[in-house]
Amino acid sequence: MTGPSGGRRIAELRVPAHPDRLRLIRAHVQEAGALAGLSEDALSDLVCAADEACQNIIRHGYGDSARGDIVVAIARAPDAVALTLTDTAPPMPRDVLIPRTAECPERGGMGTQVICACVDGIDLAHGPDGRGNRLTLTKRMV
Amino acid sequence: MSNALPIDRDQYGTVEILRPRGEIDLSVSPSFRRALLDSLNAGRDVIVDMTGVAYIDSSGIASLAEALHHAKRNGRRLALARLPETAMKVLRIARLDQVFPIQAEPDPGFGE
Repeated sequence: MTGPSGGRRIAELRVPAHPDRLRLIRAHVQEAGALAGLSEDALSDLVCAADEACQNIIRHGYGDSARGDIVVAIARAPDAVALTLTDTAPPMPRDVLIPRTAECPERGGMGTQVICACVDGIDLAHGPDGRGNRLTLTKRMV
Repeated sequence: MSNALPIDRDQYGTVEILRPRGEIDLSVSPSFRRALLDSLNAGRDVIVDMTGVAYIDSSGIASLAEALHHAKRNGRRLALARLPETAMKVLRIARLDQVFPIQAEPDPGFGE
């Protein structure tokens, strides 16, 4: 019973990539993250990061022209909880997840800033056939 | 694509207090943005009482930032009141916590 990131699988949700599903995604991450043992503050961070990352997938991944699902999976490693978001949208460039800085103010948006501030680890992988994205956000157990 | 965000309203002269209720995410932020801009375009100063907002994401904060910019450009005022910690956190991360006038309680006098 392992998750996509190798940890113990807690729960998985597949939903259409649509703004109307963000509330359900947040509730899923909240419940599954609590089941995995995250503290209240860590849960709040992971929920925010999940919402922002799914927004990015809806707005920039699938955009107006494509339709597809987002699979939201939560897995528990010994010292962390991994949230994995899988989609079939065109591959996102890795630099979309680099937050803006004073030196590079054009990089990333507010959502990226929130994701980077709320989690401890970010990994973006693409599907073997070059389609799709698998974004793993890691939150350490505190 | 956008659902309507429930917003209660009170008016004090030319000042309107907007009290959005619920969770503000990408599904309702276009309606939130429209409500803010409509009040400003009607010639009102706006206070957004956030006490009923259980959650707000970057799309909601972006709506507030656009409304603040619009208010300043048109000689109107916009303030936030009763900000929950979750909203304050996103404002801090976006480095907007020093940009918005923030009131502990809604003050139609804007501190004057």
